[in-house]
Amino acid sequence: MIETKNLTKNYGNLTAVDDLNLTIKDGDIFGFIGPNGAGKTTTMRILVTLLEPTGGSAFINGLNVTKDGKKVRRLVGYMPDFMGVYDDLKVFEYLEFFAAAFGIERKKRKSIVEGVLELTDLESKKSATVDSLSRGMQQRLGLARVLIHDPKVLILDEPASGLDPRARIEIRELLRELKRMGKTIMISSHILSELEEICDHVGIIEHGRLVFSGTMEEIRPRLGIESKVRVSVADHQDKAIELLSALPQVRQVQALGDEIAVTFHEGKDANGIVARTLVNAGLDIISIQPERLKLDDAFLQLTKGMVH
Amino acid sequence: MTTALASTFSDLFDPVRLFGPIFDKELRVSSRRRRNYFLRFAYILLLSIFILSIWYSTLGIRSSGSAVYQISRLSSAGRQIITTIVWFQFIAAQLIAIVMLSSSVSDEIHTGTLAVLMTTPISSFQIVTGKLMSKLLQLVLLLAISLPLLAIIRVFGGVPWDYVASSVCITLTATLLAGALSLLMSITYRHAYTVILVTVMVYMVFFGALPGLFNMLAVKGMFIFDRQVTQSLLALTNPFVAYAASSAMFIRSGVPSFFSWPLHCLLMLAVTAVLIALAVWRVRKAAPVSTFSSTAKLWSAGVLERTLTRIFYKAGSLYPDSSIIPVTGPPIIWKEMRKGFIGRSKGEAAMFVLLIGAFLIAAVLLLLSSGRNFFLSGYFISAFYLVALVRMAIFSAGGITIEKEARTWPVLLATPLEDKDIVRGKAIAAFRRNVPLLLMYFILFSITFFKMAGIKSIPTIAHNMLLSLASSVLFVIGSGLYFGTRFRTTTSAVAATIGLYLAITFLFCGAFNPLNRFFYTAVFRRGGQWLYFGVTIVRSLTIGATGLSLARCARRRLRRDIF
Repeated sequence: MIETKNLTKNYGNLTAVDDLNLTIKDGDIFGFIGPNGAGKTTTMRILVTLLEPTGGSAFINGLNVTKDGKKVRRLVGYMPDFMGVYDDLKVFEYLEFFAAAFGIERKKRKSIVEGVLELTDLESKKSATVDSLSRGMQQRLGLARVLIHDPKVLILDEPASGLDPRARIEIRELLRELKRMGKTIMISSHILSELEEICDHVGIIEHGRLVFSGTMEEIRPRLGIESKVRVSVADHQDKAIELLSALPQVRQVQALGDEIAVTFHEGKDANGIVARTLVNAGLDIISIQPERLKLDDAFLQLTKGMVH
Repeated sequence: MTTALASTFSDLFDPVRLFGPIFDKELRVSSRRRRNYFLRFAYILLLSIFILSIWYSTLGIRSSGSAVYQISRLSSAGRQIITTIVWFQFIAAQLIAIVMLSSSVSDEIHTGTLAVLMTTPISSFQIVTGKLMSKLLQLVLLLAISLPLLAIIRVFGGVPWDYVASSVCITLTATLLAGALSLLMSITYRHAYTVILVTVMVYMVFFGALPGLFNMLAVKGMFIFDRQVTQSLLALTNPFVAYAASSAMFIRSGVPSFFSWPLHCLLMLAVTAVLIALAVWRVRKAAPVSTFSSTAKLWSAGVLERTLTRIFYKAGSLYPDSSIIPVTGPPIIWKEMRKGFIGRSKGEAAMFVLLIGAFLIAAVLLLLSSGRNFFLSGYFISAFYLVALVRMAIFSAGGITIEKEARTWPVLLATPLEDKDIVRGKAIAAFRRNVPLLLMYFILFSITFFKMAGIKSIPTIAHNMLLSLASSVLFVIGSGLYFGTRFRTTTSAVAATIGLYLAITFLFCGAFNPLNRFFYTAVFRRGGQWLYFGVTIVRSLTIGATGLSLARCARRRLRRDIF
């Protein structure tokens, strides 16, 4: 579990992290979102013991990151926002070097390195020099390095930045696989829609303060946004509008060309209610689609000072 | 009309207009750096302490003799001080110029910003001269602020303006030449340390080995010119010989004897202009190539690497590829030693071949020469010593800053490796990678002393060389690691390491420092050889202990300024 209590970090007069309270449960993927300079990277650097906080405290699996630095480093795998590589090492050597740095016995290193190479699909590149790899490959190598000591917690600072769509999808699949392996993952990214698909929880940070933390479902009431469903019927659109307007859960029904926009007071089973009502009335449904609140929208609203 | 002429004239000689926006940018940036002001202050403070210590040891309360006698000694002290300071500036300015310019273009090539610069209306000339002049400006400022101190020393008497002017001019032109050569090399080689070492090697060959050979042949009557003409030509074309000629007579008689120094300076400026022209020509070619090409490896380096891998690591059975070297021992040492003694780039391989060649020639020449050829032996010993220590400074300071530059430093510090293991690993690797060079130095030193004193030289070799060398190695590695943790770039860290080492050895451990003066007086009065040993031991222990303290400071600072 990752926990911060009133975590603060000042750089002179600038407060990069301001009284941050955060809890990430074991086995969760936590998306850490915020505009540039919001304090995401600083928070992550404190958690991996590279920076000391000015105030407050941070814990990883109950260990204080300031006092138990070495133990914390053994528990955590950290991938920085810009990952440098030793350009004169080969992929296998690079990973074996970090295996040695994490104190893994020499006898076990080879099988462990081969294991993470397999997991990250880099087996064919093990004899290539690190600097000859493409950006996507280097990111994957970074993930392989992070996994070399089988850490319980992964802290990944924008692991998908600068990657092409295919590489992003591959990284996303890899993260899902890691979640299945029971890792706790804290991940920051600007590719917000991607986090939406893989994260259990999200935290939105602005000016060093956490403006929201919770599940996607919890964002809606926080923003005062209702659930919306867009439905399209084969004919008798007027009848459909009449039926839907009569439902007690529905707040508003609006015709938008061929479609009908239905706004609910709360988002629970909105699709099912619409579908059952129309089918029971003998109307043919062409399409029915929930209008989901995108993470980007929530991010924009939350970081514009609309919610405090 | 007059206004227009004045405007044209001022435009022509406006440095910002002449050297372009890069020079302008560097001026603005450097004026905002507190470090530069601190450096100037520290430099003046260091010189002042040095001058005061000489003053005190010459005219201090413990000095005997009448007031008239003491005043008569002032001119001698003045000559000694000024010679030491100017020699120090002469050597340090060139070395620091080489270090400062070593990554000037290669960094721009590597980051791709050179190609961007080339798409702007900035000319290649402005890029090259902007880089050269902006970096050297700081150095020139350091030399300039020492001028008032040198002027004060003139009050001591015995120091004519001619000597001050010639020394400053020779130093300035030599510094320009060194900077231009380093900049040219930085267009060719990727790594700053390769540039530094190749430039030092070029210096050793063109300003040391070849002139030494010509001089020796001329003395034996086997050269196209006679001895006098050869030496005059060397003084005109070689800044070291020029400065040595200027100083030698001055120290003896107080009269500067090298009257051709303006011609020498003009020649050096002409060579610098040629180097700048070459750099201007090459820089435009380097820009597009850099965007696409990877670092080429010299064929011989590849063969060497494969052979060494086969010899030292029988890895074929355990590892999937025989070129993969298994990690053995402490990981930091393994990683640093992975590059081998030689290094893996074509520049490093070329340099190693040059060094081996220079060593073999030096050994043969020393074995064939008479035991009293001090110039030859002194040159070779000093040259190998200098290269070994510069290389050590690069590996110790660069061991940390290269990780910072490559952004691998946070990743390394996020591992459970202890800070002391990281510092120790870097220190051991910096030493081990220089063992071959130190061995070469040891062999040349031993040959020289055996030829001079036979079996009696063994205590001198053991005591003087090993003790001094060990303390210097400790100091350079310790200060290198310390500056590695303080600075972000390799060039700054290496320049600080070399600068500090030269300052300490020249000003406070050189022939004119108070400790040595005390020792010489004692030896000459009492013939106390044991006192000589004692003083050397104290000095070596002090330098070594300072190095160790700096290494400890490096360990404490390791996790500061990570990003």
